[in-house]
Amino acid sequence: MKYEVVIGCEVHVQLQTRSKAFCRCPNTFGGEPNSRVCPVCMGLPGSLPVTNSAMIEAAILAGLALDCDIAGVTKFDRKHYVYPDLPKGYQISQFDMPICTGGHIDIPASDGSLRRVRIIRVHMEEDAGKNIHPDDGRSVSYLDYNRCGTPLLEIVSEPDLRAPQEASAYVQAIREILRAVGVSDCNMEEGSLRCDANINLWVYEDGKKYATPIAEIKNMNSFRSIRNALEYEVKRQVREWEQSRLLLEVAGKTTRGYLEAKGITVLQRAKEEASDYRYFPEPDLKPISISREMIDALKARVGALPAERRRRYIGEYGITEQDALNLTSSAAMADFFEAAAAGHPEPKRISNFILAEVKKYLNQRSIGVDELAVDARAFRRLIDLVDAGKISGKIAKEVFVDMADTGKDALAIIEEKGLIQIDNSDAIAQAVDEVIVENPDSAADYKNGKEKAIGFLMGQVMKKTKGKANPAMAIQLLRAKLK
Amino acid sequence: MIDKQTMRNLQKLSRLKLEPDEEQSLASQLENILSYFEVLGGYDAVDTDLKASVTPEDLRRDDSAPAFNREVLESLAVEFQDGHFVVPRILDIDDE
Repeated sequence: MKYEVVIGCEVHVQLQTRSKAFCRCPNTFGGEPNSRVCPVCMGLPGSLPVTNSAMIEAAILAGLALDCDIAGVTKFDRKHYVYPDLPKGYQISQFDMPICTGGHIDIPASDGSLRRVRIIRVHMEEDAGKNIHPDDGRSVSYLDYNRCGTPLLEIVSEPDLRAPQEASAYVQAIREILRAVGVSDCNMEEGSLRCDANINLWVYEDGKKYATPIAEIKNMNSFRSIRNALEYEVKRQVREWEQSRLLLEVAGKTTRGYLEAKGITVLQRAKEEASDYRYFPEPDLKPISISREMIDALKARVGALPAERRRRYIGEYGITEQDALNLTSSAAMADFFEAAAAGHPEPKRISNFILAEVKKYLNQRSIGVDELAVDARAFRRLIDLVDAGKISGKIAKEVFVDMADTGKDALAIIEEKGLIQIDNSDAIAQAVDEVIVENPDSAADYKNGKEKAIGFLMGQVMKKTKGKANPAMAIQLLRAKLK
Repeated sequence: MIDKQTMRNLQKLSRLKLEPDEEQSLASQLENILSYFEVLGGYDAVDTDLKASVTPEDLRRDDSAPAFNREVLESLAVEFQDGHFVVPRILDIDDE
């Protein structure tokens, strides 16, 4: 069976403004329930929304960073639905005149080439409150309206993604870009970045192409769960096609939720037949004209960020241009590097370790640096142990993998596993003697002036001591014994 | 044109259940009502609205103000518990 996976994403991003979208309630996370609400975000009669200029600015910045066209005139619309998390009975959103249209980002494709993902639109809207369904036997729900009215961007892509891995890479790329321009912290755990994906298959049989029903997958709360949920969904749709040959035209679109603990998706809502949001222009808010001058001024801010970091790395830290590019390929990576290298005399060494060992670990597991169990400070403590001569650089690589796998601190791991470098010259001398006896040819070669032979002998000493010998001490002893 | 599918959707949305003969007479009444609104098509309303636009500079500056006092909030609620509004258990339409 020959098929192609087709995925499009809807990403919601909470904007980091000081106040909410249409009222002056603080826009922050956590705290006491219903401690950041007012008549406007509670939808009390007679209250009127007033648009936050910072939301418009953030939306333009995001649009520019995603290579979108920015509308000359944009407006808000009411999207009606009745649910207790939205006390007004409608959400202020954008319907036919979104602020940004037609962007794109390039991500690594599953076949190693570059995949261009087109962005249909980016629009502004307000978030809803939170429902809590208590387990106390009462038939009630609790409502917290703190999140109600906080500013969101919805970023809608074309179905250009061709593999679950690509969907995860796409959302990571969005997060990196929006963090770099500073419009959102894009924290998936706290829900400031949320992703729904539409997925189906194009099946090729007997020279014909068939489209399977589209499933919208919700509740994917990490990059890993995006990949896992969609990988499961591909398998499920292949099975469904083989069993029922159900077509998109017949079955339409369904909504499925991802159950992370079980690693499966389950049907939430069957085919949508009757939904009517009764969109109409928000009569309480005037349309907004955006001038060319404003767009140009914001454009300058978008371009400066990663480029400025690279200049600093090259100029102040003596890092090569290629390494600086790699470190700033994501804002999270650059943040990690800067935090780890702060105050270190040789930032280049830290850069080398990150670009080799940390990147290798992240690539093997397809995770982002901020999903790593090792934060920048814990990572720096590992480097400090190398600097202090407690462990060798080689051991540090193993310890790092251990730290990332277990979340334990470097010192705890090296003590637990007995990896502390051997600084005791008797122990090293014994290993050196044994290596010379076991490798008489190499020893003779070195004595006859073959400088290279010392490298091989060093290797044997390190092997014998399981990498724990202090290298400087070991080579000194080798040379002394072979004189 | 109000077709059968539209009538079914409207019944679901308005939580109404109609008999077949009611369905037919309501459909034609609905069509009549909708035709009254066609007169609005003669006006270029959207364009007129857009001319009355504001610029981002005219909008509210991004600073926050104190939120509602908790006692006020509690006095508005039918039931309030542990900082939350209490409402009848929420169920999705399809769960009903």
